[in-house]
Amino acid sequence: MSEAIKTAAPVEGEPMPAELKTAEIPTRRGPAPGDPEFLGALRDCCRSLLAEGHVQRIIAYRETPDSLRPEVAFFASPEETGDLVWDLFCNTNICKYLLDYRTFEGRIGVVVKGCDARGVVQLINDMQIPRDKVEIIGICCPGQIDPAKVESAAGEAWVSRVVAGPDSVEIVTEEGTEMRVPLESVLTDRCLSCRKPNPPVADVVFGEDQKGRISDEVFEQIAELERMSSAERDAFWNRHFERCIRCFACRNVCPACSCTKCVFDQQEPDWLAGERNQANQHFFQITRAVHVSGRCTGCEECDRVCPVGIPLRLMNKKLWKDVKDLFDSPLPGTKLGVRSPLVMWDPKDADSFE
Amino acid sequence: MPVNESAAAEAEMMTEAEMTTDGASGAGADAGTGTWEPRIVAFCCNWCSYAGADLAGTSRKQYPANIRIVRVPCSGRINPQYILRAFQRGADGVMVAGCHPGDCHYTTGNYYTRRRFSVVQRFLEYVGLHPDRFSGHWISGSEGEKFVQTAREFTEKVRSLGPNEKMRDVL
Ligand code: SF4
Ligand code: SF4
Ligand code: SF4
Ligand code: FES
Repeated sequence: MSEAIKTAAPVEGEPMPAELKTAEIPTRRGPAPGDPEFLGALRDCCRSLLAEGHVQRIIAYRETPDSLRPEVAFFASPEETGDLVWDLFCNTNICKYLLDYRTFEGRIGVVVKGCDARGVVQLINDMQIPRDKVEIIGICCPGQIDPAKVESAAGEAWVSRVVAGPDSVEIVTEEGTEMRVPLESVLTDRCLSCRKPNPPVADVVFGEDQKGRISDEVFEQIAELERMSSAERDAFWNRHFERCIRCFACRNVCPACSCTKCVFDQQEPDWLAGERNQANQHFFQITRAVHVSGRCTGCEECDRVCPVGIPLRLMNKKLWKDVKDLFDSPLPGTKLGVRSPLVMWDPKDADSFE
Repeated sequence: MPVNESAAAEAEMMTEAEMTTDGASGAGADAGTGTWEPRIVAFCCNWCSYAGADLAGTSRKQYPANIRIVRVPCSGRINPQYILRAFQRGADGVMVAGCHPGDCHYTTGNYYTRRRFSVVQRFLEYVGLHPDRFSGHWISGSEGEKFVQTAREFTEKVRSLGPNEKMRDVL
């Protein structure tokens, strides 16, 4: 080993620009979701940010005729914020829309949950958008509800609305019947194992820090897969990979997939051929997972949007587990100014070469 | 066992086109006829491992002709996609070889490789590739003997596993 390397401290690829290392702006706090004042305060906050010219756009959610499915909306003026909503059905991770504003001259506000906020931080750390261009309006998230779980709880009846309490939800059907089910029974899968529901970085925060839910289910499933033989694992993943229709939704929503030219869209060389044979299906799945390793924030949005239900979390979290074991780095998106562990090295790294 | 005394000369012929099209030949994937020989792709960095293989050749040490060397400027140049592509196009095993830590011609390339490789190795195993089909080695330019040993051992491991079907384009 040469002298120069021996004396070098653990090396980061390139130093992080200084402005990312500056202390966080002190955050303001608003009422928590569930508080009767909450929605009014959130709208006021967004309205004044736009009115006072602090931001020129706000990415948030808007009501739709289906009360279980608010839509993502882009607010350009204070007047529009009247139908801005935030309830327990704001499942969509909106951070990726920030990249549509790469060339937008102005600042953008984003209304984000804990998992979404990690995506914003990851985009900033990956230098996709500058920190000062984003106003992070964070919400300490009590957990989001899966509309499909509500609908299956309601059985045949059409759901007209859902009133969420701290531990249970009331489902009101079109016929006016009401039923009460435990909150945990209708929460989305990712919320059931969410350890970090609070935005790690924000300019305004609504609510007090939430505890989150500690479930090891995903890691238990991973451990179970690890105990299988190669042939069993091969069969397990083959069964899932062969169902992928390559809609690329998992890539499109992912805050770690920010490449302007994705390898899967390249013609020359044509890394990914069109034919859906097991070679190509594997190539796609393995490459996507490996590309996001070390930068995947564990938001599980990819898993949520996959139309054929491929358990992408079992790959992403496996990679995260290994990256964490090997290189001892923080969960991506939880800290500003952190580079991916895969673009750094340390002479003392574990050695799997023979 | 077929042997190749001048592997270096053969490796010189290996172009990227061969790597990305189904140009593999030599050791065959003729399973079932009793003549099957494992096909192994070895990605070797130019400055150490490839020189090690070259040394083995010039000192007339024999290593299995099953090994097809793809010369890369540095182990850091080995994109994980190359590894997948090799398996796709018919490799039964893939070896990655570079300079020993601290000896990389570009100073730090192999440190990056080591991190990436550790993650990819565990992941390939996780999705069901047999762990013996993929390995990494530090081989210097003076370690012709180590190259020969590694090539032999790896070839025998892969031989005992039989043809690889995982990720393979045409079975
Ligand atoms: S899959 Fe890979 S190349 Fe494509 S956007 Fe994601 S990280 Fe980039
Ligand atoms: S890979 Fe999935 S879980 Fe990870 S950051 Fe991307 S969308 Fe979120
Ligand atoms: S979202 Fe699901 S089906 Fe679509 S490309 Fe990703 S894994 Fe395949
Ligand atoms: S030149 Fe051999 S590993 Fe970098």
